[in-house]
Amino acid sequence: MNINIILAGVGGQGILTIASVIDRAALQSSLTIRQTEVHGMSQRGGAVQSHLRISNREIYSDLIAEGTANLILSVEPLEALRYLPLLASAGRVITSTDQFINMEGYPAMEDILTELHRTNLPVLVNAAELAREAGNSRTSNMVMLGAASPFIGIAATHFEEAIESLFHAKGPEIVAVNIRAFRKGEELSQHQATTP
Amino acid sequence: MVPLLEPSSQQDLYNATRHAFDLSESVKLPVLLRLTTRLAHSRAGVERSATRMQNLLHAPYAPERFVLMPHNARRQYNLLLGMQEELEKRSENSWLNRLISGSGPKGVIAFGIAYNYVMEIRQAYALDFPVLQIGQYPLPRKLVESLFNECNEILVAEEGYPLYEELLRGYFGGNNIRGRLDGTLPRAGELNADIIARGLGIEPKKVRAIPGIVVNRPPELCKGCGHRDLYDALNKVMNSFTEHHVFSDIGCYTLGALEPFNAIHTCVDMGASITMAKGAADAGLRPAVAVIGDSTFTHSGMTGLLDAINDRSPLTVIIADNDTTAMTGGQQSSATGSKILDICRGLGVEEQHIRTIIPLKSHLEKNITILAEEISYEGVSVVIAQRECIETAARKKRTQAARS
Repeated sequence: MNINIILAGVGGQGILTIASVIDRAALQSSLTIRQTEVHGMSQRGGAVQSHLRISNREIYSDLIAEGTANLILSVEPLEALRYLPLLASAGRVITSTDQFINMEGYPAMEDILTELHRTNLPVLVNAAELAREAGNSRTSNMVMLGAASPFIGIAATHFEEAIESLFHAKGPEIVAVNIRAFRKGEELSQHQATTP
Repeated sequence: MVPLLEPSSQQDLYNATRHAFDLSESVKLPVLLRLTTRLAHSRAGVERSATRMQNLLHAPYAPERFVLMPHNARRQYNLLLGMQEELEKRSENSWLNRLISGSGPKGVIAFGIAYNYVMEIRQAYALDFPVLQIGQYPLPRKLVESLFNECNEILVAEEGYPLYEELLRGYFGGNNIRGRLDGTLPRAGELNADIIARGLGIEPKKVRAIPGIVVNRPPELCKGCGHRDLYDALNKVMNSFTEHHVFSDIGCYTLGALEPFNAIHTCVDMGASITMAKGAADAGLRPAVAVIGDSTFTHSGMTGLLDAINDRSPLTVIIADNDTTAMTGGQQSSATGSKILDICRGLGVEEQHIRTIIPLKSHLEKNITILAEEISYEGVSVVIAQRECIETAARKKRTQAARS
């Protein structure tokens, strides 16, 4: 097993939390991980990316080479496009469709969708809406993780245990709402995979 | 001269840190641990070793080692010179240096984290060139020689400045050495697997390009951040002067250098806002204004301010006190609020020229007035902009809500 994931979004959208859950779940599954932030994660409002590599053997590079990412998991649609050179030809894009517009020249959504549909069966997620349905609009990142989870090759129970351990200190309600959000994303992804 | 360790992976870093203490105690020298950017910004699972108890307190009286007056310093330097052979021997036998055999004619000497990218490419393209991994210095001469004897051509893969490439080439340049200095690898910038591949003559296949519609998204101050209101007020004041330089420092507030504010014009090193403003004031620049955050001020701004007070240099120091070290994630700042006021008083800023403002939209006019008054004062003045970081405030609120 060998999977390379690009996590993308805008600073402050909870990308590092997604990375942290995947890291924990992978370690729980006795897999090797390397995870690195390419731009300062603490920088609000700017484009940020994290490279995450999971394998059952030794991993050398922390950075993902061009054309070798299996997944781009993005919490913002335009940000998903920024890292396309890293995506493998059979790689998949899983992205939220919630735009975050804080700069000049943000392109039209239909142009973004056209580009997304040029990739191999993109999974498009109305993350904010699903997060609200789960009970907390701040859990969009866990919706996105749920949507990506079927493609990562780690059992959902390991992800849920990781969410539990990460949010444990914030109380049982926060844990529960994050797990609900994760399941919402996972359901949507399974549904999209079975409906042409 | 002194041992330096430069591991390539997180596990090696963990082990090397423990090794560094043992090595330092054994040779009675400082041991440097070198991390380049990527290793400091990445995570991996690490197997921990058994915890070791702290050594018994041992504080030797050894003035010949620790009083570095010239006669002792000379003796210490001679001792260090005499140890070089021993340190090199330790490098030859270190687990951080190893030769991975293969078939030439090309070989790679990979320093620190560059090893990761070299091995990534060696694995991905099923190549078999010999690799010498270097993670402990001084350089193990015998290992280096054996690689050079084995290969006709050596690629030197080094993160950052090509220090060892220069040494290995020598002043007149070795013609069998490839690296950053002959353009085989780029002269500047971080290495990665693709760059190493190209350095070895492999062109990674391009799958996709970035679509033309993708525009840049530069970082910005948070919506609702107090620094925004500080810069709105400061810009209004500075625009009334022909010379409107603002010297600043490193923190979230450095983002004031970007659109839409363009409010600050320098960020050099911690504390330099004040010392640069002082130098400018002494050279005749009016007004001379510095913007510095609370934690940078206590880290290395206070000495510059004292210097300005001693020399009566006319400058205005604006301390953006957001009650935290926001840029790095909200760590505690050494002094905020009334402590900062006390520090300024204690250093000798005149009481009537230590002013506080609250950077809020509703205070804009008042803040403009206060800033204008102090900036036009021909002496040292301090304006403290006090408002808690909105991120820290929101986090506190959430934690409280979760507790109750």
